[in-house]
Formats: sequence, structure tokens, C-alpha cells
Amino acid sequence: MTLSKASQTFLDNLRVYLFASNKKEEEVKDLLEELEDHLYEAEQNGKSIEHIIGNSPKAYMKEVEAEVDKDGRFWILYMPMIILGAFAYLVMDKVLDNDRSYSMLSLIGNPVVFIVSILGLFGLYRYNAANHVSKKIEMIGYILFSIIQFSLFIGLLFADNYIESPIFTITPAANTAFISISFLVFVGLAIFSKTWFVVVMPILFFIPQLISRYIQISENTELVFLFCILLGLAAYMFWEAKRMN
Amino acid sequence: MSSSQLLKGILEGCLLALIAERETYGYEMVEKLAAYEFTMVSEGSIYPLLLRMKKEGLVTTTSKALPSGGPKRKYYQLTPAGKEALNEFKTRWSAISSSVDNILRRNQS
Repeated sequence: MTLSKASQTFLDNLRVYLFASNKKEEEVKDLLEELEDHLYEAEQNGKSIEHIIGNSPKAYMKEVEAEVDKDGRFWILYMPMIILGAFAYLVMDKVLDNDRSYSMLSLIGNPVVFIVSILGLFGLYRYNAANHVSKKIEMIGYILFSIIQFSLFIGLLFADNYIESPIFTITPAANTAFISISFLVFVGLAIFSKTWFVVVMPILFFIPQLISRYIQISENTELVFLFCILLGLAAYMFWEAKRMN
Repeated sequence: MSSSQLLKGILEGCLLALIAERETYGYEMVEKLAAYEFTMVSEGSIYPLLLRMKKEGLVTTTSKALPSGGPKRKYYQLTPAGKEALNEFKTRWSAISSSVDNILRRNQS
């Protein structure tokens, strides 16, 4: 049983759209199977995809979105995991700086930036799935998104230097415990989410920092580094979007 | 109420009537609708509607394997609540259609 490319692309896009809209997986799977069956029969009878979903794939996706239940697990299960992940990144960042003090601003700001980034990425996936977006525009979207995301993190670091907030300093023993827990969180999240996202992100962020600590590099080289990270991040998100299909 | 919402209410009534005849699946419903020249909506729009009807307890579904293999096909059956909803739709529809007919007829003459 094979579908035309147009139909398959539409089904793939609908899947990504509903996934990024945080809809119940079971319901989505059920509905997509039913639609696939319909599209197949319709194609056997020489009907075009426009005949099935109307002239606007976006309008049809919204129609479906309205009827499929939200997955409550996002806030109950995923949100705490995102926050846990955010803390793990913060710990790693501090370790590289040999710093054992945490400001209130970084403790609150880091998870907030993470949540905003993930919701933003979901928004981007939804937009790309519902609109006719060329590969080029899609890639530009991911690059822009990476720049914004990166700016938020850098902005938070700067803000932390200029805005005073209560500081918590932990003992070296607690620090070791934090590092071990962070490492376990990374591994756990990678296994649970079945994506390399949680591994790729720290590599992209921390490896250049590590290198710059041991090798004296000029500001220009640092800029090149930064650009490479952004490109890497964008390429990774692009690849992840394709992989979800 | 927008015209598409009005149309959806009518489509829902028609789907209930088709499922009441005998258990059926999506593509078959669309073919029957087309046979009655009900082609005002795109074919795919029955699925979000069927999903809602299922959640409202008007229909149930069973999946059956196709003789040709491939994915299972979902068949719809009417529940007692669905039968009730169909009867209500019939009453409402005959009231609406006869009054609208009357108004339009008087308008013509």
C-alpha cells in the first residue's frame, strides 16, 4: 500500500503539527491511520488530495486540532523534566567555571529560558508543518530561532552579572553530588526522550567553552566559534524535525 | 453561527443517519454522501466530526483487519444515545426545512 508523495507529505506534516500541539498520541495515531486508509482509497479512485482535505491544509489541520484532546502529560510529566534538565545545564555551566554559587536569578531564569525555547521550537514546528515553507526558509527559521535562543542564554548570563539577587553557595561535597545527579539527568532524559537533543545541546554549548579555557583564542575566533554553534544547533533542529516524520 | 458550523450540524445528522442504516467506515460514508449529492464539505472533514461524535458517546468503533492486509479499518456503530440524537435531528430538521421552505416560497411569489 503506497500513497502519493503529496498525501504522504500531508500526513507527515499533520503528525508533526499535532505532536507539536501537544496532542494525545493515541488519538493522533488513530486518526492518521483512518486518514491514510481514506487517502489510499481516494487515490485508487483518482481523487486528488485537495478533494479530501480542501484547498488549505492549514485550515484542515486546525479543524482536526480542535477535536483531538490535549495531552495533560506535558505539564505534569514533561515540564518537571524540562526544569530538571535546565538545572543540570546550570550545574554543568558552573562546574566549567569552577563556581559553586548559584544566584536566585539564574535558578529561576534558566528554567524559564528553557521552557520559552521549547514552546518556541514547538511553535516553529507547527508553523512549518501547516504552511508551504521551502527548505531554505525553514533553515533560516531555525537559524533565527537559534540566534534568539542563544541570545536569551547570553542575556541571562549578563543580567546575572549586573542584577543582584540572593546567592546560594554549596559545599564541595554537595557540588560533587550535583554533578553526579546532573550527569544522571542527562543520560535519563536522553534515554526517555529517545532523542539526542539533551546530549547534543551541552556538547554544542560546553565544548567551545572548554577549548577556550585551555587554549588562548582571539575574539575573532570566538565569534567564529559562536557562529559554528548556532549553525550546529540549527542543523540539528532541522534534522530532528525530519526525523520526527 | 457561521455557515460552516451550520453545515457541520447538518453533516453530523446525516452521518448519524448513514451509520444507523448499518455499520460503516469513513470512505463508505463519503461515497454515500456523494451519491446523495451532499458534496458541500471536503471529504476529510468527516473525521474530526466523527471523533467528536465518538467522544460524545453517539458512536462506537471497532477495528477490523482488511482481507487485503494493511492497516485495520475502523467501523462505526450507533449507540442508544446516537439513536436519540438522530431522532432529535430528524424532528429539528423537518421543522427547520419546512419553515425555511415556506418562507422562501412566499418570497418568490
